[in-house]
This record gives sequence, C-alpha cells and structure tokens, in this order.
Amino acid sequence: MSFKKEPCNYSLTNSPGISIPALMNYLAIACVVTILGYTGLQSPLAYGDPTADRQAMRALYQKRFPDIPVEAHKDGVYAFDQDAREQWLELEDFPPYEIAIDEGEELFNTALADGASYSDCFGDGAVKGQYPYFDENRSEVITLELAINDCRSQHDDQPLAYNGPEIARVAAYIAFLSRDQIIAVAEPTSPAALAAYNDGKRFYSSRKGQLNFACSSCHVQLAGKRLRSERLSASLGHVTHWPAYRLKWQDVGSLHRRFARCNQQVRAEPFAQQSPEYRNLEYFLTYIANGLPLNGPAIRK
Amino acid sequence: MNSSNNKIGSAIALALMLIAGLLLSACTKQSPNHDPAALAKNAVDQAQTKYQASEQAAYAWVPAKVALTLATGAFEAGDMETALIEAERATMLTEASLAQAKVEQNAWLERFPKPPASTTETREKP
Ligand code: HEC
Repeated sequence: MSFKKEPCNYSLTNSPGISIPALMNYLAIACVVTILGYTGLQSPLAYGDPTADRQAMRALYQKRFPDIPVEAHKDGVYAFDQDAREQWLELEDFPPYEIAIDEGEELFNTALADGASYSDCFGDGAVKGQYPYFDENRSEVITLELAINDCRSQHDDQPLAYNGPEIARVAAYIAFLSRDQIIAVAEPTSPAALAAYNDGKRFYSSRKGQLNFACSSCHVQLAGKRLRSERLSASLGHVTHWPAYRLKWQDVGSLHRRFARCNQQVRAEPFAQQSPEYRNLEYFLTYIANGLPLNGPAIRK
Repeated sequence: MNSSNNKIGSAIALALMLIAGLLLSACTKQSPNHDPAALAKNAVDQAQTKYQASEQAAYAWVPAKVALTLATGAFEAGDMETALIEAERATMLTEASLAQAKVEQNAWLERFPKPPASTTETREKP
C-alpha cells in the first residue's frame, strides 16, 4: 500500500513550531476574544437551518482565506502554513500511522466471538463516508466508532473501550480504505435529527471553561492566526482525517479525543468519547464539511 | 415589700444569667458554626452539590473539580482548614461556571456566523 499524500500548493505563510499554551496568555486572549465576540460576527440565525449554516461557514472561511480553496482545509493548519506544511509532507513520506493501519487490517479480518467478522457489518471496509448519520429509529447520531461496537455486540463480542488503542486501529484501517470519499451527510430534517444537529451547533458556539472560549472563538474568530506559537485551523477541515496520528500522543487517536483536549485547554471538563455531546458535535461539524474529501489517517502535531 | 421585691429581682437576674451562660456555652461548644469539622463538611457538601449542577448543565470547569478533589481529600485526612478553603474555592468557581451556562443559553446563537447577504450556492433542499 502507498500511504503517501498528494502534495498540493496554495498561498502560504510562515509559522514556527508549537508549544503548550500558558494560562496567562490564554487569559489575555480570552479578553480579546470576548471583545471580538461582541463586535463582529453577530446576528442571530433562525435556530436550525443547516444549509444556511453550512453556507455561512464556507463563506466565512472563503473570505478569511481568499487564496485557499475551501477543500484545502482538509489539511488543517497545513493548508496555509508553508513551513509547517513542508515538514508535514516530509513526515508523510514515512507515515507513523502506517503500523496502525496494518494492525487495524489484522483486527478487521479477525473473527468476532460468533465467527463472523467486521466485513459482515462493513463489507469491504470503505465505509467511513457513511458516518456519522442520524438514526431515526434509535433517535441518535451513529458514528463509525459506535457502529464498530454495535457490530461487535451483534456478533456476541465485547465492545471495545472508546479510549483504547484497538478501536482507533480498526477505524484507521477503515479511514484509509475510505480515502477520497466525499463527505455527504444527509441534511437533518426530522425534528429529532435537527435537535441533535442544533445541539452540536450550540456546543460549537458556546463559551466554556474558566478561560471562556467557544470552539468558534479559536477556530472561527482566530482561525489562521496564532495562539502563542500555534496557528489555528479552520473547522471546515476538522473531521476529514481521523483517526489521526498525533506526535504528542505518539499514536493514532480519535476526533473525540481531540475534542476533549480542546475542551481541557480552556479549563472545561471534557466529555467522554462517544458521549451524546461529542457525537452531536461531530454530526454538526461533519455536515458543515459536506463536499470535502476524506483523507485519514493523517499526521498532526 | 422592697426587700422581697429585691430578692425576686435578684433571683430573676440570676436565672437570666444562668440561661445566658448555658446558651453561650451551647453556642460556642456545640453549634456547627464553630466546629471546624462541621464547617468543613458543610462547605464540602455545598461545593459537591453545586459542582454536580454544573456537570448537569454541561458547564463543569476543570479548576472547580481540582479544588473539590483537594477539599474532599483534605477533609478525609482531617485537615479541616484546607478542606474549608478548597471547598469555598470550588463553590466560587462553580458559581462562575453556572453563571457562564446562564449567559450562554442565548449568547451562543448570536455568535454563530450569519449567512452571506448574497448566496451564490444553490440551496440543497428541493
Ligand atoms: C483556546 C483555543 C481553542 C479552542 C477554544 C478550541 N480549540 Fe481546537 N485546537 C486548538 C489548537 C491550538 C489546535 C491545534 C492547531 C490546529 O490544528 O488548529 C486545535 C486543533 C483542533 C482540531 C484538530 C485539527 C486538525 O487538523 O487535526 C480539532 C478537530 C479541534 N481543534 C476541534 C475543536 C473543537 C470542536 C472545539 C470546541 C469544543 C475546539 N477545538 C476548541 C485550539 C482551540
């Protein structure tokens, strides 16, 4: 298998390395962001018009990054950070997630308790593009990870721990097989689906934690700017490449693990992986990203 | 007449003093307001209840939990002074987080980006 990514060039700027943000700087930025929050980007939206939301988000990032096609945000900060992008592409020559994909493949083909295998649930495994979706019967958002554990219980096997290494490996293999699929989450229309979507949207836009930041404070208002030495990515590309191999984790990990980290950064208590809160957030962010290609697993700092 | 009145007066004064003394000793020795362990327990319980409310509201703060953990740990170790200080810190932080939850109930919607005035993309809904 070749794990290499296609390099592509957009208009780029410089960025140094990344360091752990310090409390005091965050506090200072929290004040700035609070002021920004009250001066710009205002005007209430009717609750729950996903199409308008998606257009608003795309337009906002198009305006913020006029030289970058919207789809390029699938590469996160590397869409607009030349130095970091070059280092990142070098890493992609010998991607550290390769082992996780191989191990995931082995797990995928291992028989479950009743002799069936994951392929009984997921066919050839190239299914990441189908998740997340809103299941009307269960009235909840089904993510790939949830579906993996559903598959296991259907075949009399124990569920995998959502914060454990195994599920991330199976998901990494599935993500690899699903590369280049285009995200196409069905528009939430039923009241229950809209409620889940709006819950995710509210989570995304609500200030949390002692530092009083919303996801949007960093990934909308400050997107492309630096928070200490870290440049901040656009949310449009937040869901395309998971599980990702984070150098900090020295392993592949899930999108929800990243959510938890971002919550903790602002001193908010995180939620459990696959909690309804994070699944709804994933549902909202993935709908917003409709039209972008999947490119997981990927490397991130 | 006068002397018997004086005697009654002295008896009443003595009784009042006794009652006052009893009340005073009851207050200083037995009232929870002055018992460090009871004060700390009260503060820890209050912090715990408030923290749970913030969790339920999905607005729990990390430093509130840290302070609460320190408070319960100190209480169990018999360090009532630390337990009280940390419990009060946890309560203060949690009250701030609950205030945040209240503000955000409406504030978040105003913060969400509005659609562009002229939308070029065609709507996906039929
Ligand atoms: C205090 C600022 C801050 C806040 C608030 C914040 N993040 Fe982040 N986030 C970061 C930083 C810094 C990074 C790493 C650089 C980057 O990729 O943007 C990051 C990275 C991410 C990534 C990974 C991007 C990638 O390309 O792999 C996701 C996903 C993410 N954040 C989602 C969220 C969500 C969802 C929220 C709200 C729950 C949130 N963030 C809140 C600072 C923040």
